[in-house]
Amino acid sequence: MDEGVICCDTTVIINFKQCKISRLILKLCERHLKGCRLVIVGREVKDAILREQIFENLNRVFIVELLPPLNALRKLISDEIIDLLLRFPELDEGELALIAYARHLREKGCKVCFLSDDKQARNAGHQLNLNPCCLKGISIGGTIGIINSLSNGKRKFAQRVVKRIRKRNNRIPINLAGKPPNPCNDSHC
Amino acid sequence: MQHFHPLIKALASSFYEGGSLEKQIEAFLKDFEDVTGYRIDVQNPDAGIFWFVREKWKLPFDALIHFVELKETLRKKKYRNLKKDSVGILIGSVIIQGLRLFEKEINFKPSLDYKAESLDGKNEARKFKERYSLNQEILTFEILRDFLEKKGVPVFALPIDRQSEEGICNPGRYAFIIINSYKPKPLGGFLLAHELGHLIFDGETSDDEEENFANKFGTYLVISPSVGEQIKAICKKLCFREKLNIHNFISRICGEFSCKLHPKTALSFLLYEGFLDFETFKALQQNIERYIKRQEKAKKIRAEWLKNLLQPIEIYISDRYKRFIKALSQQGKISEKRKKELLLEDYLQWMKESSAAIPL
Repeated sequence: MDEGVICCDTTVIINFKQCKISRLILKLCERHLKGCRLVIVGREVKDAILREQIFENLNRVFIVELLPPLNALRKLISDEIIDLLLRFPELDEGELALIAYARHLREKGCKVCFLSDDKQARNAGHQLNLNPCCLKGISIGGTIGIINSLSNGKRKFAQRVVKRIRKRNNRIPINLAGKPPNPCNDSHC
Repeated sequence: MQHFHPLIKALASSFYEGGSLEKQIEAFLKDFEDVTGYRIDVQNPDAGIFWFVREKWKLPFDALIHFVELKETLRKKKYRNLKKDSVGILIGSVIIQGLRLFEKEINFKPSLDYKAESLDGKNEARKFKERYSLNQEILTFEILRDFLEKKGVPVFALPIDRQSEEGICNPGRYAFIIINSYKPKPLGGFLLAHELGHLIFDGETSDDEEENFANKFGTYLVISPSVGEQIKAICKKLCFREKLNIHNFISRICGEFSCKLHPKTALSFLLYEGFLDFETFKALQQNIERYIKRQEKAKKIRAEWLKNLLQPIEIYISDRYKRFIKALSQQGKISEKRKKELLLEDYLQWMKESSAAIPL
């Protein structure tokens, strides 16, 4: 039985790829999200390193589906993309594919939430009533949300993790690290 | 008769040969399959069609959003010279998305409110210049571009088509002008003035009338009366020996006006002023084109004026548009990737690399 679907872009996965914290995250996911479908959308899913190292670990917890953009787009009709881009001209292709696919899954009757580091994608998702994910009753939007959930209010710990990730991706904002995560208000949980 | 989705019809008829729509669609389907590896449903295409445009032309998804609507607008404006391999309309669709974002953030309206009242291109050009105090002797691409940017009409010079002499103008709410940057720099002023003619013309006309209006308007906008007199004097002097020597004509026009004016524009002026009959004009125009093609193929070009004549228009993205998109990215309102999509960075990089491989 499908426990729910998490739609995620590759950036969130790559941020934790070579980070020691990834083991902690997997343990947390195993406790709260085991059996969920994890759909990862993005160009990088073809990356051999991503597929081999990450796939095995994630596969222990989730039912993983790796979707390069064309494969995700083939499951949608063109009018859906037109409709979204007319409504949200600020979205880039990757954000668009992720949101379109998440919405498509929800319309098929799945319980869907999504993870993205892109604020525009999360804002668009909010307007489309696509829920951010939650762990332990805490709403998580992307990488920072996961780190803050794990750090349990320990700001220095959170900032250390973010600094490590910033060596690979300097777009992760350090000022949000350690902030108390938002409670999950969604009835789908 | 089979029903085809409007996007499929528009793409097939714009970019594929075949004589009939069915044959064009078949050619499109083959190309689609080559690029993506599968055959798309022509009645209800999936979103892989966006991926196809991305892979084929390195253009973002926005290229298809307003493609059908823009093509219809241009068809109604009697654009007869839209060539098969022009991606200008796809690019225009991306620009409209950028301008929609612009409108979402800033309440703006283009302030160019001049509307042509007649089909008299010469008179309308004179009135237009008086209205906006465009008193320069020759209106170059740069002068007209800066004027239009101030009036809220973004201008772009982009590599849209190797073969045809065209630009695209979209009137109305999301007005913009795109000029083909493959064209020679001295022609830039006329091309922009010609598109401006389309922009200010709002009436119902026959097939040729609007194009003739834009040509005449463009010629008289670019050339001031004093420059006109100089062109006439050159023509009189060169025609002294009965037959107009093309090389002399071109070199005199380029030399006299420092390559700010293309010889073809000067030739059109002479036609409109009655110095040439239409047959002579057509023959001379073809001679100029042949002369320029021969020079382009020459291994070495010594004369500076000839080098300047052959130099293409520099690629230009509307300054206001570019600054706005960059500001949105800096404010975190769009991603870095989105900024690159709206500034057509992948497309321009790809065109630069392919131009380097294939000489003009």
